[in-house]
Amino acid sequence: MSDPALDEPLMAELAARKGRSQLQDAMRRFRANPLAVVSLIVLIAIVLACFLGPYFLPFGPDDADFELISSPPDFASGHYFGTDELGRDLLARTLVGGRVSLLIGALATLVSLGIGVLYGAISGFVGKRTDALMMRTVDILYSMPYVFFVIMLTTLFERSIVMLFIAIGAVQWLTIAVIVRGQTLSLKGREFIEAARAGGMRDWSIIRKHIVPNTAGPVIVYASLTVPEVILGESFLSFLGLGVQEPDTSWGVLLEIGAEKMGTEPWLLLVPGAFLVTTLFALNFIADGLRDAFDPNER
Amino acid sequence: MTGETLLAVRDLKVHFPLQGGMFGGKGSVVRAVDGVDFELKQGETLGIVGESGCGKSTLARAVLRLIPHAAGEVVWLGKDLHALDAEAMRAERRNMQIIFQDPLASLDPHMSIGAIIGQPLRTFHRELSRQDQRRRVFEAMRQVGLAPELADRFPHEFSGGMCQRVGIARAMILKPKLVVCDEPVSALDVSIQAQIINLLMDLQRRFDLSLLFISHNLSVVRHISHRVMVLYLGKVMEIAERDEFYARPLHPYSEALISAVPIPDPLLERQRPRIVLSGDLPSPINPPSGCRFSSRCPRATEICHKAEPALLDYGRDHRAACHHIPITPVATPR
Repeated sequence: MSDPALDEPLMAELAARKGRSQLQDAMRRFRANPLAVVSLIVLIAIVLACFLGPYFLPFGPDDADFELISSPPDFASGHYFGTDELGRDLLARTLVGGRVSLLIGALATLVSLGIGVLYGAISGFVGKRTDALMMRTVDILYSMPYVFFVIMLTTLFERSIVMLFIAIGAVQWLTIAVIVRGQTLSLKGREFIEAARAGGMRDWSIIRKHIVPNTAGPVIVYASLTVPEVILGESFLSFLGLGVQEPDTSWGVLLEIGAEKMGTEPWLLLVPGAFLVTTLFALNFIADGLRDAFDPNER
Repeated sequence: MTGETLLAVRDLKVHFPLQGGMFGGKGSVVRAVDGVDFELKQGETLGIVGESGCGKSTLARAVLRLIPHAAGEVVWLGKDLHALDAEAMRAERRNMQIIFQDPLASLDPHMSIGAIIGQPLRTFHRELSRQDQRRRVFEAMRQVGLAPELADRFPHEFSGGMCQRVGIARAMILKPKLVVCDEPVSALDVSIQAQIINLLMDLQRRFDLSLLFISHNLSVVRHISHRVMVLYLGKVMEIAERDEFYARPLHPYSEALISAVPIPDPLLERQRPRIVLSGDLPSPINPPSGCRFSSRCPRATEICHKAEPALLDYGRDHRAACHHIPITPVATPR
């Protein structure tokens, strides 16, 4: 059956050479994007600082220094970023607060991404009644006020950070599901999906291998927009007393306090603000780099 | 070319319901394919021709059960495909493949050429090792004239002709018995068309393939087909051996189609009689009564508007559906 002109040694060599996988390929292109790489380094530095940094500081986040209440940034005292109205070191509080914010930002986004992509792809791909039913469910959930949702959850269950993830994730996946469904609908009519069907693939494999990878572009971009939304959403819930409570803190909570004292003690706003903004910038550049890296037309 | 009958399509109908009224009132129906019969033997090529919108592509998809049918049978090696359950149908798919009109659109832009060609292997031969899979992919690439070194490239880096070769390699990798070609060359340059047609004919000879070759280009169909079938508004107008069909078309629609093929000689071209049909293809939602071609037929008389002609055999397996064929049919319709 095989081609007589087939050159055995060459074939063997080529077959042995491992195929360039899509992931490796994307990584290579990501590495070629300096802005994205620098942003990734910055993001890793912030994460490390938040999770390890507090152990190296002379002050704990809850240690009050009554000599230096509301002191501005000052190198002599060791409070490089100043203290708050209880004399607590702002750097320590910002780093510890970053743990909560980054965790919520990453986990809630990942969870909502996972649910949303799957839900949207199935809804769009299966179509007809299933689609109608699934999308009306999304509409109903959309119409429920977010705060109502959270209050319901926190009264039913014990209040905890896990609860926050669930509450925020439960709302965030809706938009992703709608975006992915729209993408799926337009992909479904493409000939390569028909080719996959003719090639005997099961629906589930088609969704996994053809639909989901092709929605990656918009999903990555939307995810990068979800992270700041989630971080700020947490601060809103904390402000209502539904999220993180004193003495625990988060960037959202710190910003809230800082905004009140903007006129008299601006560092209380600027320090956590700078951390948040740097993180968000880094995330946006990384998302941009990822989107380009996964876009086949950039190859 | 006297293989066993691989595929027998009997009275196949495909209807697409149109959106009903706002309150679910009964909508009308597009009769895209409305009672088509034909058979296909192993190693044979059946050319299917007709205007845009006559149901060629719909027929192709219904034969492969990519879309549901409304009535009739598609008998594949003794089994009615439309009666099989989903898993049994999936198992049959390894023997029947399709090549599409738009080569680039039929390839997933996120997958490398090698991954695209190897996908059917990963679906049906999970037991193969990665190495063996890649080996089979390279073999398939060689067969269609693609250098195996290109396996890691992506579809958008390729020209239309190369993409079509990828599509053919994907269709051929499982060594199917039937390949449905849905206008495989319409989107390509003329010079590339010839290459792809010759490749298909070469593969057919080597693997004793059966082809359903859909096209609106009668010259291409003449080159590749053993038999030709003419569709008009979802019905068969004429079906015959290739040489018989081009030398002696019985149906006025076939005559018109053949007369529209240009001759590559300016002198002959100028003298050649042409039958120009007036009007457009009528709507398949509401086809003309009687013979479907009656609204545009130069020979139409009263009977044509009233009674639908049957597809009758006029000898040498040449069947046509027209009231005005001067010779008498040899057999009663099936």
